[in-house]
Amino acid sequence: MNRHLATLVTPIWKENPIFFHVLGICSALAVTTRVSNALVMGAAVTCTAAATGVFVSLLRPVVQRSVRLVVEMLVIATFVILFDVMLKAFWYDMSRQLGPYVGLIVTNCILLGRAEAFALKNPVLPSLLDGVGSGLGYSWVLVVVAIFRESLGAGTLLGLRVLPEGAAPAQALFLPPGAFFLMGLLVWGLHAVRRRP
Amino acid sequence: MREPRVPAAVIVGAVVLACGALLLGANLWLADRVARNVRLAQVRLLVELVGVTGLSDAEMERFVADNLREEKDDAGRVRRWVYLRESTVGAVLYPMEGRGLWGPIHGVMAVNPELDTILGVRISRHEETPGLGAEIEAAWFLRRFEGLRFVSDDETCGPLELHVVKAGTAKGPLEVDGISGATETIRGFDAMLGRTLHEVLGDRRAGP
Repeated sequence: MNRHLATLVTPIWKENPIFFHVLGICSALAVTTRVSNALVMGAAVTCTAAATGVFVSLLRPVVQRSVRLVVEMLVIATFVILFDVMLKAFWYDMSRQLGPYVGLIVTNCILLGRAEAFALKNPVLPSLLDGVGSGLGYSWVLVVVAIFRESLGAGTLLGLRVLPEGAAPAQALFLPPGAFFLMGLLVWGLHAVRRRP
Repeated sequence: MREPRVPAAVIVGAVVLACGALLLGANLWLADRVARNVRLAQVRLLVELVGVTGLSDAEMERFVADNLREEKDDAGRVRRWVYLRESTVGAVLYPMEGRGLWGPIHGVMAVNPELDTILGVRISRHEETPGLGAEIEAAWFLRRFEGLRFVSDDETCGPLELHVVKAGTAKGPLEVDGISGATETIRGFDAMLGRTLHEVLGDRRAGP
């Protein structure tokens, strides 16, 4: 049981896909202007990473090494499209806000990375936990970045006003370069904290 | 890792079929819902533009069917909707179509019956960057167009000079501040607005 817990928690903190592997940066910069966008995007990556982990792990005994990437990409693309269609059907407004970024999860390195590095070598349950953990690790970073960007860049949080009306928001944070600097600072801060004994 | 004995082509073929079947199934199951969402978003937008609030989805669909007269062009595309309020024209709504940074932008513009003032603008579909270009659909931006008169008092038609400009540089009543960080999107938006107003002015010249 402890081993399973470790599988779930490791990618959330110690080997966070964004901070440790520096994967999934593109979408992390793109959708973090609003906390709500970050939450849904995190949910999308968590669901698809979990499903990908399970199915890649299931196919592990029958897939040959030479075609494993083809199979992994097929599985990833299928679940991403599935999530995209569900979002369009059940939460159309959010689907419109995230625009092309849900579909672009197909190219998110976290999914392919975890499929290659983990699901292809492990049984179903650990692969599921690893997928969920990686998704959650990605999600919380997105939400933290979004909290900074939305509150300071737009003066709102989950659409509610937090800065007084008339206070000039830091527009730079709202722009992609602002997100890049913020992410850099977070990575730096986290590594500094972690290096302490 | 031991190499499995099943031929690779068989496995890949099976996975392709399984994935395809799954997506086909999901599409069959959800296509109607998605289409309904797209239609409802459009209906909601039209109802909002004519200033009616507090209707349920079904009521909105009925309202649009009963009160908005669709006028089509020769190619069968909706050219405009005329909103009839107690048998007089309350507003005229024009569909807008333009190009953004990443893809097409669709929207609707409402103008008053005299065809000289914008009542409101709404965006129905776009693929712009969330938080930047995507802000063209935000209320704080679109509010800037409400009540804008695009015909000068001494001339009956035009000149047409309404423009969306770089954020913070708008001068005079016919310039509207754009969105910083969304230059390309705003350029497309401005062109789309110009084309639509051109059409409105054409109708104005043609008379009621």
